[in-house]
Amino acid sequence: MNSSTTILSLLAAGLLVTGVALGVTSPRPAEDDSAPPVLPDSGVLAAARVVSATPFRLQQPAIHAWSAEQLQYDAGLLLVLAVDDSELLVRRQVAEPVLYVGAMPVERINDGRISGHVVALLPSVTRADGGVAAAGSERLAFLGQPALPEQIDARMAAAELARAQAAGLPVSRLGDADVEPLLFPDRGELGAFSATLVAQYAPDEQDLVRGLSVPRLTR
Amino acid sequence: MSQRLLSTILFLAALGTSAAAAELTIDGVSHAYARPGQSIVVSISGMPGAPVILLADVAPGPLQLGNKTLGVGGSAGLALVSLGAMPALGQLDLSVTPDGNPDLADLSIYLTAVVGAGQDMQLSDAILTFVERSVPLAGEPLSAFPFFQYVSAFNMTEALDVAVDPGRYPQVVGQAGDIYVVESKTGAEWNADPSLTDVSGDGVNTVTFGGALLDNIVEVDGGSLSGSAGDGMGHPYDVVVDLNQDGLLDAGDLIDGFSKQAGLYVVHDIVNRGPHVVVETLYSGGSWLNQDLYYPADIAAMTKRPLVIVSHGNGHNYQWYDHIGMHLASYGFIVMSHSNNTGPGIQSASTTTLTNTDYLLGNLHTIAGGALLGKVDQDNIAWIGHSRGGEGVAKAYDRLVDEGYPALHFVPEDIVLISSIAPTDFLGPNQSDPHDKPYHLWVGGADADVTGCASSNIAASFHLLARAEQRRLGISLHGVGHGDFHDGGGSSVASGPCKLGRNDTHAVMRGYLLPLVMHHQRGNIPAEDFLWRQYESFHPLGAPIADPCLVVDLQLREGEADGRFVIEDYQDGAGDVGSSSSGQSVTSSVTALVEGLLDDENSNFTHNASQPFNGMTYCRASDSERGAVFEWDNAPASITWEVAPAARNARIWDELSLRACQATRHPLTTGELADLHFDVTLTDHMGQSATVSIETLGGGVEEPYQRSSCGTGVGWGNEFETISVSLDAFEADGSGFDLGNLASIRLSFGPGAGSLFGRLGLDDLQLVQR
Repeated sequence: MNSSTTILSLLAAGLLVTGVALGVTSPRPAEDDSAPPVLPDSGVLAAARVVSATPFRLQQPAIHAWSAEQLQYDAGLLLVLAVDDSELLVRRQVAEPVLYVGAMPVERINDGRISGHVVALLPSVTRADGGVAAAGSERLAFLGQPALPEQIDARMAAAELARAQAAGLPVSRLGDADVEPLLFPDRGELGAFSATLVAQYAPDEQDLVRGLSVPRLTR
Repeated sequence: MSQRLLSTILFLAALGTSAAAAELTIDGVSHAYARPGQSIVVSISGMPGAPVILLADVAPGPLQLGNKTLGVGGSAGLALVSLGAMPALGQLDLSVTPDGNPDLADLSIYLTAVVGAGQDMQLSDAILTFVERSVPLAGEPLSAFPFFQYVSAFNMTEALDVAVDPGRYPQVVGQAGDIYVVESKTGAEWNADPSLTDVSGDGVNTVTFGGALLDNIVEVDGGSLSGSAGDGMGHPYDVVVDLNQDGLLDAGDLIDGFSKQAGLYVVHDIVNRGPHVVVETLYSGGSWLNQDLYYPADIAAMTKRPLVIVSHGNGHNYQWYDHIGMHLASYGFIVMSHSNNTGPGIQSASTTTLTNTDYLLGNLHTIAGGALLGKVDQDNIAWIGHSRGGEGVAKAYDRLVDEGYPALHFVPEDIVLISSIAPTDFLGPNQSDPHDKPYHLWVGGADADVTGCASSNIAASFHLLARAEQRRLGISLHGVGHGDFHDGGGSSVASGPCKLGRNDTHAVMRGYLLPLVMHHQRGNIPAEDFLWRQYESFHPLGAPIADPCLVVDLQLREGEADGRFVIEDYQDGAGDVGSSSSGQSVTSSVTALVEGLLDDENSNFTHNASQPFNGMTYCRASDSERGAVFEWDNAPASITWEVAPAARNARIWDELSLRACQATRHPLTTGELADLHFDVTLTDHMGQSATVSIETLGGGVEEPYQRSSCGTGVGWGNEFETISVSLDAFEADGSGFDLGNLASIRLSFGPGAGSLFGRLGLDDLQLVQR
């Protein structure tokens, strides 16, 4: 070992020690508030733009927990939705704006607060030709009033859609009807696949990507 | 006994009587408690010159003799002692030293004194119950009466003191004794080997005991005792006062220990990791079955271990609870944090708590290569949930018991503890309900998401605590935001002054989560001290005490199952301030005493004189949690509860416990932002009283966190904290007060009794067993 290497090693050790010390005596957080942004009083109504729509089918049906009806589905679309005012996407424990596609609350896979992109799961059914019924259709994608999706029934969802339509929000096309759907054994594998979309469109959400991509233990 | 003598007594009793009453007492009371080997005085009074006979039996009466009923049973063990004639003064005192055998603990002896014969014969009954030999000796000195507080747990480096109360042990006065701190032994071990080997840093202390408690407080170790406890908490020691100085534990010596628990426990820095290397592994069992598992690397050599399951909050991630998983697993727990479907709502979140618990227990042969197979104590599960997940774990338990949720691998009885971190309350009463389980709650005063502001029932975490039917535990932390409870980085989601930050929050969490699960899942004794002693007087050694922003308010309310007698919990709903929930009279001279729901009357914390429960966020209008509020202002004031006959003998209880909070934004609170103090006085039926100031015990009732918004003014929601006073304290130093004859409990406020002015919320005044 030459002298310069030794000095570098000592410097590195010193830096490590400094790092440990900094970790122990971390600076006090700023006094500034870091509360979730206040939502509009009149109820949120903001459009979401469809960036991509990936049709899928499931060999083993799953339950859509994001509506009161708890519908069973064996096909659907993995959507990438863009929201201009991404502060509306901030996750909160109290009621948060519900993301709808048409008259259906969709499952939010990720946050999207920083990227403005939300990967979302829209349940649908398999067409007679093996395609996904919702693929290629035109729907209104939007953020509605804060609520718990599992408490939203079809009537409430329809009312929210009517509100969005009355507000003149634009309609989006949900991809192409002719695209061959991806086939997954079950919702678990679909969830793992969705991590690739999160990684592509919301690269800041690495913890989520890792969490969705862990090895499948049993099937 | 002699059958002939008994026959004679039976005959004499059958004759009836008209003479003056006789009286039998033991140490002055009709039901005495004594430790094996402890001297007692049996006193019999009656007509001078009359013959005196004492009957004793281990079986209780009643035994009917003619028209008389005796307290002794008629068992084959009935003994009879003829004591001759009653002395001229009409009083016969017998000093008795029963056998020192520790096996006598819990045994009762039923006594009947027979004074006189024929028409003049009088009978009187008494009971002597032996209690465990252990006596309280170890503790910490106090600046005023009761001068000493006996406790179980000590932190390493903390001085250890011993007090021998001459009021309780008059035989020690003027006598020399050697004080030993020894490695703890069981009763059987002491019987087999009574030799004393001191392990304290100061060596054996030889003391000549004085006539006052203050004379007899001795520091016996300066903080050198080891806290080594493997993957447990608390190294056990016993304290012995060797009164005959022979280096052996004899019947006349005093010992703190010699029972189910040691005399004291020295606890290491529990904020630091435990001795086990931890294995962390991530895997998926399918949809919403992604799990992050932590377990000791040497689990193959272990017996079954308790399981802790963590359910995260909305927008959070199951990988964000390393500070819980790594810490608890390093002490031998198995911890699993899982993906939690919080986005749809609480029902969905509860489903994933249930399905992930089931998945883990049902797949132990494949998870982690089967390392946990046969190693999980499946009857011993704790659920911890954060925010929506915190409500989800309560809902999951509710579904188990109310909806019969068909779990495959566990039953409701297997869930032994539910803990929620800043939970929401979307679903309300009868839905988000911990039912009969010990329930624990974390609340951050600076939480900017589940804020605790009166404007939202959903953001009011304390609701769930108030629904727990049995044991309730709460930890409120000033300056802590919603995001501080996980380790995922990013915003603290905090609003308010003096923020604590994630590092210090996690240090506090580690220091309190470990005792929480140690006590409830492994029955650890010293762990409980961390849960009921006020933070100011006792806290984990590694707590970030240098942080001036750190304020910790603890609540511990025992339920019926834990052993308690409720003096006043206001749950009768009558709203009558002159009558307690235990049906006794209440007299008060405080101002504006009102009972009612612990629910802020409107949607903000702005002071409003017409809203007595401003700042209370402990229930919704549809809940039933009640309490009281009152105030005093520079004049002495008090509330006195008459004690029900059923609680007259308070010796069977260990502590007087209550919870109190300062009223936020009220002028009598904002007038002095400081801990609030008052006095507690117990009075017996002979009029003897003893008073303990809660200030003497350390701590007090904390002022509200100084956060603004939620209306005008400064001060966040009212934070109850529990204050417990050892009942023994009131008899300290020969106070003259008789705990076996409790008549009333008084709280005194104002000049001469603590803080000069203030406004308090009050609830759950009860006698408890610890």
